[in-house]
Amino acid sequence: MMQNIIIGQYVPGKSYVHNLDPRAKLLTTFLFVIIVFLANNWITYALLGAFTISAIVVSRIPIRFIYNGLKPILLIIILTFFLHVFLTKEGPLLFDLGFIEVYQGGVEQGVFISMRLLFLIMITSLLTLTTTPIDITVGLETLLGPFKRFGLPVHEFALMMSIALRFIPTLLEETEKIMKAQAARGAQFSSGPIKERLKSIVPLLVPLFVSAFKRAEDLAMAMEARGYRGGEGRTSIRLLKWEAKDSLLFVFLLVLSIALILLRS
Amino acid sequence: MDITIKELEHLYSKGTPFERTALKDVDLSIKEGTFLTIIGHTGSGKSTLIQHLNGLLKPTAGSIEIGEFHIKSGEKEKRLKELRKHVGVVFQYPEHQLFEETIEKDIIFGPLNFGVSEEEAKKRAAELIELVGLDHSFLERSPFDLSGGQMRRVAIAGVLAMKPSILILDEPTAGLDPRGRKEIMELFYRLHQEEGLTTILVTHSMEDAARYSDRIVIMEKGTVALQGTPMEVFSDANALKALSLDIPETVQFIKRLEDRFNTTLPHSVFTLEETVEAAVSLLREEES
Amino acid sequence: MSDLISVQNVSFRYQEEQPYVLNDVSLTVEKGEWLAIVGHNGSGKSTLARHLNGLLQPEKGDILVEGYNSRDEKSIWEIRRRVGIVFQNPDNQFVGTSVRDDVAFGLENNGVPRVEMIERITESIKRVKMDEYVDQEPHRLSGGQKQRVAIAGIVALRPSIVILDEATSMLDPAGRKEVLETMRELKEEEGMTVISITHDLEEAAKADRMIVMNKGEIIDEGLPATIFQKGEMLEEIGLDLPFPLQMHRALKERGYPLDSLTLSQEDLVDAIWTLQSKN
Repeated sequence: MMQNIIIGQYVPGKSYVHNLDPRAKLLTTFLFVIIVFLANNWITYALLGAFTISAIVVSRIPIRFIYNGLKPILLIIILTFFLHVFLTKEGPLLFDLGFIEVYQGGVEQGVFISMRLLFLIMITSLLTLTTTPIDITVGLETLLGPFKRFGLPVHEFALMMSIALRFIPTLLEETEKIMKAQAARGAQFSSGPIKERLKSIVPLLVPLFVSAFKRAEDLAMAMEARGYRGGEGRTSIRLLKWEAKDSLLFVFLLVLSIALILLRS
Repeated sequence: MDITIKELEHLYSKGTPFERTALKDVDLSIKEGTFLTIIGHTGSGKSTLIQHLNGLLKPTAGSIEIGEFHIKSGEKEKRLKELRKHVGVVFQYPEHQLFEETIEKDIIFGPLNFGVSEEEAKKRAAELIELVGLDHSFLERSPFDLSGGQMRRVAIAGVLAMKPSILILDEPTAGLDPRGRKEIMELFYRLHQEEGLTTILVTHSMEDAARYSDRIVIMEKGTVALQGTPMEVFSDANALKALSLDIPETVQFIKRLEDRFNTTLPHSVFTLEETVEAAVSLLREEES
Repeated sequence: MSDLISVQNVSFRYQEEQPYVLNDVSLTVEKGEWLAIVGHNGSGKSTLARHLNGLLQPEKGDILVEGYNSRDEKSIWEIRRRVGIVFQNPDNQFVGTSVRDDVAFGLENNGVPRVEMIERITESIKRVKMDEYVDQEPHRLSGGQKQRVAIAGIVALRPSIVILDEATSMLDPAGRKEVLETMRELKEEEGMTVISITHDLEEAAKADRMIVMNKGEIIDEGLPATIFQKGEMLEEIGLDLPFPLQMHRALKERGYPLDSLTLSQEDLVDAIWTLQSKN
């Protein structure tokens, strides 16, 4: 379980998708989220579907990881589907169960909307499945770089993210240690009504906060001692390389967008 | 309460690709009233072992008997809380477990959890705060205003307040300066003797092991590599060397004296005073 | 030899109306030496360390590092690049998400170009023998390994001085040895100046020079062998004498004064042998 929290959803691999520049992946995902809303007929949805499925195939991510990402919202997708099937009364009547009438337009709408959700989730989870959190952070920092001049604290945000990623395992370990220490003093964490339970985590939360603050203080001092003085004049060891394959993906996505615009009804 | 450990095994993340053996084939029996020291390198399984003794970890195979309590793999010991009342654990850097507004409240946290009356718990807190070398005025203060060394003492008082009959100490002096270390160890040793506790100490200090223990257990790669009285363990210099562990300086010194003077000296010598005595006996011999 | 650091009559307290944590402290650090500063917890030795690279500013007095005064705001970055500190807690100074990122941190701060950065990182990681762990995440490293990475991060900046601020006190014996050996090699092979702040007299015994602090003041300074003559003073301030010295003193008390003060067991056995032969 801890393993999952540490590296997020990332599944290590060396596929084409893994090796893409995180910026290319971020931009593609962003653009995809927009063009998904262009689709409004069978042919355009088929195009999006083909793109999504080939992306998954190329990434060589086992399907159960994709499914895991879908699980929490599967119910919402199914619900949306039936809502549209039962409530949209357009096109020819398909069948009538007496208490409910199903029209062709309803079925179409239901399929389209749930496909839209499905594609959105699949592509965004593909991003986190093939990119380490730190690469996403660096990618975002570079992409948002131009906004620095408008006062957006891009560097600070990125540093915060990477320090958070660095300390998650440490704090998890610490949590476990304190839980054990308090359990040895007879504390119980998971029983009784909610009010009792809230009270019972105080012996866990207080030490955790105290230690997190102490760490933050130490870390700030260590960073200062190593010459940290904000983002200005700073160089970076992490270099993002935009290669032909990244441009290719981007061009491909533009073509897809144009096709969607031309083919939508 | 006697402790008997049989064929104890512990696997972390059992059944996953991350499975790792932390303990295997550990057999150990600890008689009531023993001062036992566990020595071993980081990762040798000593911390995992002691966490089994109050049910914080469950064996994946084998069994542990502590008095009338039985912990077996696959079976649930229903009286876990009762067991924990008898087995107090001072974890590494125990000051990290402090959380209450006042020191008194923190010390009585354990006893109250185990059903001791507030009046009795407070009485214990008042006694213990003095025992650990702080005075009565500390009780109403916040534990977070103290120095690191003082916080450690308060945390220790919080464990002692449960009146455990088995006391487990996981590197209780780590990070303290020499004076603090000595004071804390002397405190535990005094308690061990006065209260007839069973004490289990995990340490890297060969000196402490030599000075205080009745028995020493050396852990290596998740299992017991060597055990016996301090004299037995420390006289096996080759075995210790193979485990890349140091021999206490007093023991080394006696050995050197013996070689140089071509004589035999008593081998149960572990304190400075005893070592001085041995050296003096050599010098005196010549005089007479 | 020339002075690398000169501390002149420095006094400091964290808050007004509190007692001084440093009280009129003066000292110099020479190029290429290993200086041990000893004292019990709370003697002011860590506070002193934090003054040496401008993390704290003296209330009175001055601190000069290779001529740069820490009071001068423009000098502060020059000073921090020259004086690296390895702190006590290995976890709380590891900034990067991997060994490479962490060693890079100081270089990034100083705006070192990437190409040069890579060169320096490779070199300094090799220096502390962590080259097998370049991509490792911190939570998979031992305490000793983390401290060696911290040293590499400092070495990469090509500093004049490394300060070990109780850098080994949270490590197990193996980790302690690792870190001290790494530093000793750096001193011998690169002529690095080392200040080791510690309460471990065994460690201090191997230094070139020793400063003893108590209650914010320097109470003694000199060669370890000279300072160890005053065993009582060291014990009085709560430090533990190395075993041979304890024996030496105890034997003297019993009426068997040995000739010379020794720091090794062999020498002590020899001295006892000599004394016995004389009788």
